[in-house]
Parts: sequence; structure tokens; C-alpha cells
Amino acid sequence: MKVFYAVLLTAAAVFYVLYQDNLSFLLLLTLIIFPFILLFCLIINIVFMKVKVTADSDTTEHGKPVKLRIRIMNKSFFPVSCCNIIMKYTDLDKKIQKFFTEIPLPARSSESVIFSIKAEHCGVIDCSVDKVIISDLIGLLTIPKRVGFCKTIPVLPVCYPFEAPVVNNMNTDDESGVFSEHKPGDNPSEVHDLRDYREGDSQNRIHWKLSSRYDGLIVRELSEPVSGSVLLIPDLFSCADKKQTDDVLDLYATISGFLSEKRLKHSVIAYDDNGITLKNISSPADSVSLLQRQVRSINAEKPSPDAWTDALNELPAFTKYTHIICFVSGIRADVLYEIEMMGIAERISVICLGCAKGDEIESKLSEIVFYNTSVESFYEDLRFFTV
Amino acid sequence: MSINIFKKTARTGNLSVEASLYIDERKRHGILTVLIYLLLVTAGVYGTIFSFLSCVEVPGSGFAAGICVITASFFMTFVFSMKKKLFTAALSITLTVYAVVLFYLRRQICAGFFNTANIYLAKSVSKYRTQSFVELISSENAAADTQIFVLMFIILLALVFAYGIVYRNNFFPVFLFSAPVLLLCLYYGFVPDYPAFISFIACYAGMIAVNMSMPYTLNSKPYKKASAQCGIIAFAVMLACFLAAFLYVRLTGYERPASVTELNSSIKNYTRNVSIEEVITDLTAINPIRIVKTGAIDHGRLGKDGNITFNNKTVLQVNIPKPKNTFYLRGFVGSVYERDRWEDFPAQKIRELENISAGFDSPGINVLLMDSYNLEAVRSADISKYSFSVKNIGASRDYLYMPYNLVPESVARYEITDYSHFRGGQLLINYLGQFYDPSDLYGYSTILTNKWTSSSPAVASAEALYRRFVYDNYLILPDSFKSADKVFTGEYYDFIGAEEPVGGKTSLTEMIVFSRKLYFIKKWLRDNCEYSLAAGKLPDGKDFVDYFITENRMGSCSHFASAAVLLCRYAGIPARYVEGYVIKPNDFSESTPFGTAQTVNVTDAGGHAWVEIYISGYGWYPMEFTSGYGFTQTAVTTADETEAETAASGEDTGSSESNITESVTGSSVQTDVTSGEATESITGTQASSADENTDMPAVTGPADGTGQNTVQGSGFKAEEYSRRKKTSPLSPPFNTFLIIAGVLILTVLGMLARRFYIIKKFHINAIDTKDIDKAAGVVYGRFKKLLKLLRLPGMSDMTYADYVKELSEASPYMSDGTAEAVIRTALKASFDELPLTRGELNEMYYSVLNIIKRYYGNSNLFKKLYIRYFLCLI
Repeated sequence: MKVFYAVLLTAAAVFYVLYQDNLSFLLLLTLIIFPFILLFCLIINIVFMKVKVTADSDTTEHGKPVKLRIRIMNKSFFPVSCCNIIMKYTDLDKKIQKFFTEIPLPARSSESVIFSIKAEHCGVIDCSVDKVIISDLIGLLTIPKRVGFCKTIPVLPVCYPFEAPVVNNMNTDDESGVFSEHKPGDNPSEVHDLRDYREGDSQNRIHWKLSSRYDGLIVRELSEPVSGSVLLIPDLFSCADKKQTDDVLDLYATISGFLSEKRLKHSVIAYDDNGITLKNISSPADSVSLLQRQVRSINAEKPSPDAWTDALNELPAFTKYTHIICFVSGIRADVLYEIEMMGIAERISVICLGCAKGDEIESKLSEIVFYNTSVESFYEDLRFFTV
Repeated sequence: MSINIFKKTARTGNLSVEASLYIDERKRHGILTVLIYLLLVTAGVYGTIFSFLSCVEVPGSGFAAGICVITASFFMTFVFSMKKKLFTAALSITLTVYAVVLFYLRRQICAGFFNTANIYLAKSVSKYRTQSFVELISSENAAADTQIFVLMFIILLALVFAYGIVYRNNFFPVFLFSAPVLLLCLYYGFVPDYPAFISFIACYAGMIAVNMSMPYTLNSKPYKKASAQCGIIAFAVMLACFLAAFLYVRLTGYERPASVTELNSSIKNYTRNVSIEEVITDLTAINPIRIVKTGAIDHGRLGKDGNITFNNKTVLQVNIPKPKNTFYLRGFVGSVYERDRWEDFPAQKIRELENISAGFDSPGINVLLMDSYNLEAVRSADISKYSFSVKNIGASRDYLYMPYNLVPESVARYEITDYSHFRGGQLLINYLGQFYDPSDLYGYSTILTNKWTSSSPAVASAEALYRRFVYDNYLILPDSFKSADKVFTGEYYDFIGAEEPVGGKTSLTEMIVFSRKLYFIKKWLRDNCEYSLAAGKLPDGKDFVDYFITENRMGSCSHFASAAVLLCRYAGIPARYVEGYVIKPNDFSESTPFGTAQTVNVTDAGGHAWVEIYISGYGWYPMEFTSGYGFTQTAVTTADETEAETAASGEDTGSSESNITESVTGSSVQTDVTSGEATESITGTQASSADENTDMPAVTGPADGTGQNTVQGSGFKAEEYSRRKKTSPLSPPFNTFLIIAGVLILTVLGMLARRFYIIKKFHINAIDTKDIDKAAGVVYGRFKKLLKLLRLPGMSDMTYADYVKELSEASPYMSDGTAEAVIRTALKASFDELPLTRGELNEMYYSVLNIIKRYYGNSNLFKKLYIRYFLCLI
């Protein structure tokens, strides 16, 4: 339009020279004054315009959209012919993309544009709306209006509903809300079992009511609160592509979420901004927080195999886990062998997502149980899984 | 309730972004929007048609046209605002009815069209007017036919404007229809009515604003409210700007700066030297089209032609009494000499002259009327008056070729009252009047040798004012004239200063010297120069008169006349150059006795140039200096050679010492003058030129059989009508400068319009269409254009994998996997049974766009212009 208007002005100037009537001067003067009036209207629009950007949530899951609402309010009496909203975002590969939307704005009105961003894979999306560009009535002049909105949205894995029995051989933990199903204890919160009286039993534990109905005395066995020392190792770096990464994260997040909900403290060896470190999870919030840090590091450089071994070696001394669960999409036999040799777990399970395990590996790693599954079929494949 | 009015998606790899716009149901456009559109349509139609009508003045009531404009605009806006089903039916009915009416009235409409075209051509200034004139289809009621054509055109305009503004928000068809109409008016120098013109411009501003605010989408209805508001505000702002400019001009009394006027004059001067014949010859150098100019006169241009040729086509039909001597018809007058041409005074000088004329308020005398000092004597003396009539068939329309010694109140110009004379390609300009022979009053030598004074103080003071102007301006010699010393030698000074004149006259009066000067110049030219029609072209850089006097010594009438004017000026005699036509006695049939009226066909061979000299107290007096004509030949007298010698000798002719006074005490001649524009005006309407005064002499005459009628009028300014027609606001545009500038501007506008059209069409076909596979083909077509730009091969017979590999290796822009995605999607669209999804199409579209943007970003300026404005890829 600028080029067109410049050509028009030039033609009007030539016309003014060649055409002797005052009409040519009037036309030239009109075309000179016109952009200034448009600029004035544009400035009025800018002054009386407000832009508000909000996001409906701070996080999202992969495959689910997060919405950014941009509300533009035009409080002036002049309409806006074109309001160009530029939303910048970085995709999961950290490439900066721009999304342009143009809308007109009537006078004394507001319009809302909703940007719905959906990522197929886990990661982080950085969205920003730096400015909106307002054009005058004929698109000759533009003035940007600063918005300055910036938001980072982590795309988290999906947590599926999951139930699995918590096995014995767990350590006593008075603060745990989970009670052993196999062995009694002294915690009066739960009754583990009822049995016949044996010599040496405390009289406090006699269930007098029941005993009155039966020949003999019935004793309450109190329960033993236990906590599972479960170590989760999600190996994101064995994944060949983003789909596999998502699958690994999904199942890891599912089981970690299950443990968190049961208030079973567990640990995670995870790779985040600080490298491969051990994190203790004691609440759902901890689990979510760790997940956010993990998805930020998805695109980070893969650690060396030694880094895993070093991390394992740095585990607290005399730690013995009841269960180590590895989530992988590619078998790293050396790491698993290392784990097995360390003897820090009573059980080791490897949940393979979409990978084939070799018989040789299986025979070599005799203490490890392999579960071959996928996100779609894990309910079926893990029905016998116990934590 | 909110409705989703648009959705736009983008997909890059693993992320998809979707933008949606929701508006409240109640915010959609309503009746106010329709009213705004109606206003824009009405303004556009009114501006277009009334601009044209104000310039061309077709017959008919403006009120009726206005009602038609409003009705048609209202109806068409209403039709195009309807909902889809109703709109289809209403538009079909409207177009059917229009087509039926068009067919039924086709003859009247055709006749009306040609009428309008003829009126337009008649009013325009173009030397090609006769060649491009169209024969009228004869009809009984030409005025009604023209009105019918105009009304049908108004309806068509309303349809186009409503389509462009209301329905499609596309001003390109509107521009195509309406802009040429207005350009036609301005092109030939008409001045349209200001309200209509600004209405047109404001409508365009509104249309552009409507278009800018409407995104490229088929679903445009939700945006109509915003776009209508933008349109009306832009319309109002443009009107306000024009009003402000108008007030500025009015309040400050704006006058065109002298620098601009000079620039205008210099452009005109430059372009006058370029003829369309030369331009066409240059442009068609391979197969040159030779356009041959014939005749000896060329509107003051000198030395452009080599040999003078004649085609003997009739240019004037003149009815006069058969004269004994050559009869002169005066046309172009050149007052300013510029090396190789004669020109009229610049506008400032003409204004000065008009001020001199206007400042004088005594009736009966007009300083601009050549021989008005004789009028009273003419009226009081019982001398013969002769009638003449002229029909201009093929001569220049810029002048009225008039005889000398007119009786001013006798001159009438035909005004055209019907169109029936537009036939056979003949555009008729007729005028008639009376003239007298001044030799019935005074002899040749008397005129030249007597000291003329006026007894009336008013006349004397007016003549003194004018005389001062004449002596200030008609003695000017150009710097390029250097050959005066060839003529004005000692012999000259001896001759004019001889104390002992032939015949015994002892006193040497001023007028005797005056006549001796003229005699000497005339004799020198005759004795030293030869008349020839093959004088050759003027060599580049040389002065026309200098070349004639010093080197060539041969030429035609224009040579002799030009040289005589400059020599007279050098000798202190105010003189000017005149072109026109001459009729010789042998042009009449031999059997016609002298004094009997006969119609003569004047051809281009009758073109001639001569000189007018100024005699103080008498006025301008025509003189013949061309070799081959009688020595005493003038346009007004039949004196013989001996009388010329007598005048030069100073012999007493009986009245040489007496001061012949003009006693003009009053006159019934009205001094309401007409300007000398050679235009026709339609009775009952105003003239097309704003400053034309069409008061005409009171002459009634019978119709001459061609259906022409005369009208009443009043006095008449001979000099003005003899002078070139007042310069039209825009010079005839056939010149290289305007052609080149016009072509450049049109090219740029055409490129911009083409780009706009291509991009819009691409968006409609690739983004908004429901046929995804077809859209993929359109996007792939753009990709192929890009491949061509990058000089990469097409797929031809290669396999997909090989082709992708080759592209990746050939260009860095294709190596990131984007091109692979595009080709894969295109193949899928072509061969897969399942249709593409919208997401796949979007991904393909944005992938192609990304590659183009990257290449564009890395290109130089010329390549960017090429990509943007020629290929229209971005």
C-alpha cells in the first residue's frame, strides 16, 4: 500500500504540473493531508487500545491443548482495519515459530482471539506475544502496541489411573499410611488380622466381644505401617524418538503418581538441569515438580553411560531398595547389569516400552524381571505387576 | 452466545497451533452496516457518472440522472445484502431483466453510446479527432437515446459498485469500470464538477478501507460491521481533507506559482517539438509506419519538414464573393520567436493583455480588435460589406479562420442544437459574418504613410496603453538571431535616410521612414531569397531565420514571413507572424464574375504564412513578404506596385499630411465579447470550458439544409478568436514524456493489481477452499515455481526417494526435510484414495511458505522485487 500511495502521490504531482485548473492542486493537497489524518486516527486508536493476554493453565499434557486468550479492547471511536497479532512460540525442537492473525476491530468494541496450542509430545513450549501491530484505515501506516506477554508451558506426560498391590518386604515406617498385608505390627490404626490367643499375648489385644461368641479368646493383631523403598529410573535417553520418550514418561509418571497418591515415599534417578541426580518424592507436588524439570531437559544432550553408573554409586550407603523399576525403550544391558551387580534391590523390574528383549540379556540378567508393554496395552500387560 | 467466525491453524513438526476468533452473536452487522455500504455505492456511482456528465454535457435532466443513481444504488445494495438463497434469486432476476431491457433497447442504447462518444470527441482537443470519429447510427430522437444509454450505464455502474463494495469487497472490477470514465474526462482537459469528483475519490478511499479490513476469507459476513465502519470513516476523512484543501485555496486566494507555470510551459514547449508521427516512426523503426504531414504551415513550428507536399484534401469550405486578389483567412498568430518556432504569449502576458482590455470601459473600442479604430468610419461611410461563411472540415480546430476587416457584430458561430449533423465522420464548425474592404476607405500608401490619431480621449488613452504593450513585446528579438547585419547594411541606412525622396518631397516624416523600412525589407527578401517548397529541414542547433538569411536563402512562405517579422522588429517596427489560408481568384470558377459569392474548397495547399505590422493609431496591418506575391499584396488591399513605391518615396498622395482621426463617440457594438475557443456547445447547456463566454452576435439565418440552426449572440473579439484557443488545462498528450510516464505508471499499477489478484486468488484456492486435494495442488504449484526460481529440476520420472535426495543435495533450502514433507503430501493428494486432512494441507502450505521466506530473506533487493512483484510468491 505504501508503494501504491507513493505512485498515486507522484501521479498527482505530475497531474498538478500539467493540469492548470485548481482541481489538480486540491487533489494533491488532499492526498498529502490524508495520511496525516489517518496517522492521527491511528494514534487515537493506540492510546485507547488495551490488550490483555491470559493462559487457562500453567501446564498441559501432551495431546491436550492449552489456550491463550488475547483480548483486544478498542475504546476509541475509530475502527481499526487490521490488528495483526503476532504470537511467537518455540516448538519442541526449540525452533522459533511465528503465528500471525489479522482481525479488524469495530469502534468501541472488543474481540477475543483464542490460541489453542497442542503439543503431541512432552517438552516445553515458550509462548510470547510481544506486540500487536495496528494499521490505519487503508493499511498505509502501522504502529506496534507493546504487549510483553511471555509464558513457558511445560507439556507433561499423561498420568493414567493405576492400581497395583504393594508387596511385602517393606521396611517399617511409622509415618507411612500404608500397612503391610503380610506381617503384623504395633500400629493400632489398622487391624491386620484376628487370631486365637497365644501365650504371651497382651491382654489389651483380646477382642472380648468376639471372644464371648467363640470358645476361646480372640486376639487382634495390629498392623505394621510400611513404606516401600522404591526406586524409579526412567531412562529417557534410550528412546529413539519422541513417541517412545512420551511412552516412557507416561508410564513412569503413572506409577510415580500412584505411589505419591498412596503416600509411598519413593526415589527417582532423573536427569534434569543438574544432571543425573537422585530425588526423593514424598507428595504428588514433588512428583509434578520433578516431571516439569524432566520435560525441560528432554532435548538436552544425552548423558554418557558412565553418568548413570556414577549416579548409582552415589546412592546413600547401606541403602537397600525393595524394588527398582526401570522404564526404558531400549535395553541398556550394561547399566542393568551394573544395577543387578550392585545388589541394592530386592527386586528389579524393567518395563520395556516397545523394545525387544533378547534372550541372551534375559539369561544374563537373571534377577531382573522384564515387562514388555506399551502405553495402550499396559493395563493388560501389567495386571500382575506388583510394586 | 458466541460464534466461532474463523479458525486458522499452523502445524510445525510436532506442534500445532490453532487460532480462533469468537464474537458475540449480537455484534454481527446490522442495518447500519447496510446503510454505510449504500452510502459508499451511491457516492461512487454519483461521482463517476456526474463527473463525466459535467464534462461532456449529454442532454437530459441532471435531476433524473440523480434519481436514477439513488434508486439503482439502493436496489443493488439491497440485492447484494440479502441472505444467500434470496440473493441468488434476486440477482438472477435483476440480471435477466437488465439483459432483456438491454436487448429490447439495443438500438437506442447503441445510438446513445455513439452520441455520447461523439459529444465527447467533439469537446475534446485532439488533432486525431476526425480520424477517430464514429459515424452515428441514425435515429429519430438522439437526445432520448443518449439518455437511455446513460441510465443503463448508471444501472451497470451501480451493479459493479455494489458487487465490489458489498458482496466481494474487491475493488478491482470497480476500478476497471469507473476509473477509465473519470480518466477520459481529465485526459482531454475537462474539469469535472468538484462535488462529483470528490465523491468519487472519497468512495475509492472508503472502498480501499473496506477491502483492507476484510481478511482473505470466504466467510466475510462477520467482518462486515468493522469493514463498514472503516469504509465510512475513510470516506469522511477524505471528504474532510478535500474540504480543508478547498477552504485553504479559497481563503488564501491561492494562485498557481510561477515556477509551476513555467515548468508547465517548458514541458509543453518540449512536447510540442515532438510529434506523434515522429514517436510512432521511432517506435516502429523495424517496420516504420510513415505518417506524412502535408501543407506548408504547422502551428508555428518551423523547419521540421524537408520538402513540403500537399495531399489536396479539403480543409475549409468557404463561401465568399469572388475577389480580384488573394483572399486571406487568418488563423494562428505567433508573437514569440524561439529559434525554430513561433508561439503565443505565455499565460502571464495574455493576462496582462486581458487586463489592458478589461480596464478600458469605453464602448465601441476594443484594443484587441485589430482594426477597431476604423469601425466608426466604417459604420459612417457608405462602403460595401461582404458576407462570408466558413465550414471547418479538416483544418485545426484550435483556430477560427477569419477574414480581415470584420464587422464584429455580424459574426455568428453556429451552435449545434441537434445531433443529426454528426454524420459521415464530419465534425462541422461553421461561422459566418461580414467584412469590408479597407481600400474602399484608404489606399495602401495612405495607410502606411499617414499619422493616425484619435479625437476621442478614451480611444487615445486605450490605444496608448496597448501601444506601450505592443512596443514592449513585439520588438523582442531572440539572442539566436544574428543575421540582421546581412540585411541592414549601409545601403539600408542610406535608403531610409535619403533627404531627397523621389518625387520632390522635401520633408521626411516618421511615417515615410516607416514605409521605407518596409519597402527595403520586402525588396531585400525578394532580391536575395528564392521561393521553394524544397528548402529542406532545419539543421540541428541552427536558428531558422538565420539559416534562411545567411545560408540557405530559399524557403517557403513561413521562411519569408518569419524573416520579415524579425527584420521588421530589428528595424523598430512591431511585427508578428500569422498563419492561415489563402484563396486565390483562380480557385473560383472562371465563369463566376468578380463579387459574386461562391463556395470554394480550400485544400492544404492553401496554407500560408504572412506578417502583421503595427501602425500606431491604426492597429495591426497585414503585409505580404513572400516572394512571388504582389509587392503590395496585403490581406486587405488591392493596391498595385506603383502605390507601394509612392508610399516609400513619400510622395503626397493627397492626404499624407492630414491626420486622419477616428471619432468614435459611441457605438452600438456591444463589447460583451466571446472568447475565441473553437468549440461547439450544446444549446441549453453550459460550455465545457469553464471560462468560455458564449455570447454570440445577433444573427439569425436560415437553416442551411444540414439541420443547423444559428442562435442569438452579441459582440465578438476578433483577436481572441483568431488567437489560438485558450490552452486547455492539459496539453494534448501525444508526446514522448507523457507516453513514457503514463506507461510507467500504468505498469506499476498493473503489477500491483496483478499481485493483489494473484495473492487473493491463491488464498481462496489454497486456504479457504473446501477441496483439500485441489488446494494441495495449488500449493504444490507454488512449490514448483519456487523450484524453478532456484533452478532445481522437476520430479519427472524419478522416484520419490531419489528426487528428495537430489533436491537436498542441490539446494540448502531443501535439505532440512521440509521439501520432503511437501512432496510427500502432494503425492498423497494425487494418488491416495483418502483425502488429505486440513492439518496436512496447512503443514504443506506453511512448509512451502517457510522455504520461500528463507530464500527471500537471503536474496538481494532486485531478487526480492522479482519474487514479490513478478512471481508473487510472497
